[in-house]
Amino acid sequence: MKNNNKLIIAYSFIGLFVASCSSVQVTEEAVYEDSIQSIEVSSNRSESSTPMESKAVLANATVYFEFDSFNLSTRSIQALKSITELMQENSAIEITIAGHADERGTREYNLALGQRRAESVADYIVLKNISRSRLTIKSYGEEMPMSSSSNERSWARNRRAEIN
Amino acid sequence: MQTRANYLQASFFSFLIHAALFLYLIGFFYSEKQLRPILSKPVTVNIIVDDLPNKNIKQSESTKVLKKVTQTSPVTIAKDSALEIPKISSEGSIINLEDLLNQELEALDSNQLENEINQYSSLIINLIESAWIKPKNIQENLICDIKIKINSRGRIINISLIQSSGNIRFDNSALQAVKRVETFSFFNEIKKETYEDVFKNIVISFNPSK
Amino acid sequence: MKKFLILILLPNLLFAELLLEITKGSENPYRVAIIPFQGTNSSVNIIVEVLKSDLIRSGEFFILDEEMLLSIPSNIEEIKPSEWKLLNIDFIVLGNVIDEENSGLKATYQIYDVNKKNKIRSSTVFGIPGKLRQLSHYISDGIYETVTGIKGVSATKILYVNEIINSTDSDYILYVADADGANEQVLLKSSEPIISPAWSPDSKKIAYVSFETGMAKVFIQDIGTGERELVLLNDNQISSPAWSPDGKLLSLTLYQDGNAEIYILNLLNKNLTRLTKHYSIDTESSWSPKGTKILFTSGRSGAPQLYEIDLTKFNIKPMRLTFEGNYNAKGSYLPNNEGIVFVHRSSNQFQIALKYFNENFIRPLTESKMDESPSVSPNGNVIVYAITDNTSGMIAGVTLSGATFVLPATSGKVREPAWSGFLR
Repeated sequence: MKNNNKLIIAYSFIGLFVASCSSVQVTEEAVYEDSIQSIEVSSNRSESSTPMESKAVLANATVYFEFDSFNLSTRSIQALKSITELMQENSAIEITIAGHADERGTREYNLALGQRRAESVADYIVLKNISRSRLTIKSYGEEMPMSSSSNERSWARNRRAEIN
Repeated sequence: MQTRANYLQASFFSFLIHAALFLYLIGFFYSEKQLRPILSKPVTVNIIVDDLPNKNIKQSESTKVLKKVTQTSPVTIAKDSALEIPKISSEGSIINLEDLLNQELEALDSNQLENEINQYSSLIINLIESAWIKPKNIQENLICDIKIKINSRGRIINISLIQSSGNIRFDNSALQAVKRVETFSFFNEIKKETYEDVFKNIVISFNPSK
Repeated sequence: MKKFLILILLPNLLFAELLLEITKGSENPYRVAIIPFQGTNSSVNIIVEVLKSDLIRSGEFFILDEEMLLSIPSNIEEIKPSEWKLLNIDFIVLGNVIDEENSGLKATYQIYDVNKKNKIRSSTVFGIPGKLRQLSHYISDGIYETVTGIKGVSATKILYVNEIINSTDSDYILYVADADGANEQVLLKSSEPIISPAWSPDSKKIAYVSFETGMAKVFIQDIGTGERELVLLNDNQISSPAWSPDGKLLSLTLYQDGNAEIYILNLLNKNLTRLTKHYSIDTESSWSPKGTKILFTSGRSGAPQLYEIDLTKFNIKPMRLTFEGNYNAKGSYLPNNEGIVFVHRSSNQFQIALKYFNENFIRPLTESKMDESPSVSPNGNVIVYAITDNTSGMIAGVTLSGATFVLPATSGKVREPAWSGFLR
C-alpha cells in the first residue's frame, strides 16, 4: 500500500525552461519499501534407467574440447565409439549428454557453448544410426566445474561433455 | 467603355508614378559612385593631412554593437596623399574643428563601450567557469549551447538548452553550472542601453575541447 | 536616403546575440560539509554515516571530515558563508531527526549554497519503522539531485547470486539488497545453480534461470508474493531472460533449433517470435531504453561479438557493434541510449568496457583480470559488476566519474549483479 504523502520530483533536461522565481526546492516524501517473500526449492532429479552393466561403461565417458570450440577431436571420436556400439546393441539404453565450459567469459555464452558441445556429441551418435529420441541434451555452462582452479590445466578439464 | 479606358490609363500612370517614388526612396536611381561606404569604425582623424570625413560617421556608431567585440585597425592613410592639402576657409574650419572634436569623443566612447562589453563578458565567463563541474569519461569535441535571459538586476530568469551535445551528462552539467550562478550581481553597473542591446539575452556555449 | 537604408539594416545587426564561450571547468568533486544532524534518537549518527557513504560512493562528492568543521551551526541563519569559503566548501547540509509516534522517524534537512549565500532546498522524509537505512538513502538521493541535477540511485536495489560451497555440494541463493550491499534478503534458495537474474521494468518481479528441474529453465517470480511461474513449457532448455521496457515482452534464448537462438515471448498472449536465424550462438539479449532495439552476443564472426537488431525495421539484419578485441559479450544499453556497456577481453583479461555510439573505439572501465556481468544504474552513472577468482567472488562498482568501490563481502562466491530501476 503506497503512502499517499509521496511527492514525485520530475526532471526534463532538454529544452528545459526554468523560471526561478523561488530558488528553494521544497519537498516531502515518504520512504516506501516492498516486502519480500523468500522461496526455497529442492531439485528433483530423475534417475536414468540403465541396466547395471552398461552403467559401468558409461560412467567414464567424458569428451574434451578446445577453448571456445565445440568440435570433436579424433580422440573424442574414439571415446564415443564404445558408447555408440553399446547403444546399437541395446536399444533400451537412453543417455544424457551434458555440456560444460570453463569459467572464462560470460555465463550465458558458456551455457550456449556447453550446449553446442553436447550437440556435437549427439550429432555424432545420431550419425551412427541411433535415434535422437534416446538422447537428452543439456548444458551446465560453467556452473558445474570438474576442477576449481584458475589455470589452463583446470580449464581444460572443465571444457567437456559428460555422458551418463 | 471610354470611361473605363480612361480609368485604366489613369491607374497605369498612377502606378508608374508611385513606383518611381518608391524606387527613388529606396535609392534605386542612385548610381554606384555616389553611395558612400558605411564605416564600421570611426576613422582616426589627422587634422592637417586628411580629407574631412563626412557626416555619415554619426550613423555608423550605432552599428558598433555587433555580435563579437572585435578589434579593427584604424584606417591608415599613406604619406603620399598628405601632399594634397585642401583649402579651408576660416568659417569652415571652426565648424570642422567641432565636428572633429565630436568624432574624437565618439571614438573614445566606442572604445570604452567595447572595453565594457569585454569586461562584463569576462566576468560572466569566469563566474560560469568556476561553477562548472565537467563530467569525466565523455566524448571529445562536445559542444552544448544554452540561451539565457537575464533581467536588469542580473538575475537569470530563463534558461533553455538550444543545442544538445548528444551526451546527457555533459548537457546536464552545463545547465547545472548556469543554475548555480543564478545571478550576476554586477548587472546594476551596466548602462541600460548596453544591457538592452547586449546583455539581456545571451548564448553560453560550452566547448571544452577548444 | 542613406539614413533610411541604414535604419533598415540596424535591427538585423542588433538581433544577433552575444555569444560567450566557456572552455574551462573543474573536474573536482562537489565539496560538501554535513553538519551532524540534530535529534535525540540514538540512530541519528547512523543515518548521517549512511548518507555520507552514499554520497562518497557516487564519486562526485567530497565530504568534509567532521574534525575539519569550523563551526556547528544549528540552523541556516547561523551559517557564516565567508567561513566556509575558507574551506572551499560549496554546500552545507543541516538536518534533524524526530521520533514520530508509531510511524518511525521523520527527517528534515536543508541544503545551503555557500556561493549563492542562500538555502536551496528544504525537505522532509517520513521513515518506516525498521527501515533506517532507506531514510538515509532518500536523504542522500535528495542531496545528490539538488547538487548534480541528476536523479540519485542510493534508494535502489540490486539482485545477485551467491554460491555457498559445502563439503559435498553447493547451495545457490538469489539475494536482493540495497544498492550499497546492505539489507540482504533471500529471494530464492536452491541446491541447483541459479544464473542470469533480471528485474522487471517496474522492479516488482524478477526473472532468472534455474537448474532445479535438471536443466536450465526460466522462472518469473513475484518479489512481494513469492509466486513463481515457469516460462514456456517444453522439453528444451531456456535461458537469458530480459524484459522489454514496457514489461509486455520477454526476450529469451531457446535451444530447440540445435543451437542458441533469440526469441521474443509475448507475456500476455504467449506468442513466440523468432529473432535470430544463424547456426552460431546467439544469446544474452538486452533491450534498448525505448524498446526499439535488441543488443545481443553472437559468435557468427568466429568469436563472441555484440550485435544489434532494430525491431522497427522490416529487414532485421543484425548490425555488428564491436570490432576491437576477440571477446565482447553481455552488453546492455546506457539508459540515455548513448552507448553500451559490456564485457571486453583484451590480451587475456576480461574487463568491463563502455562504447559510445558516436565513437569508434572502446573505453575500458575496470582493471582486474576477470570482471564480468556488468549492470548499469538507472541514472546511467554507475556500473556494478562481479570480480571473480576461484576462491571468492565480489560485487564491485565503477562510476563514470572514475570512482570505484567494492560492496561488503559476504561469504561465498557472489556474482551476476543486476540493478533495479528507480524505486522512489
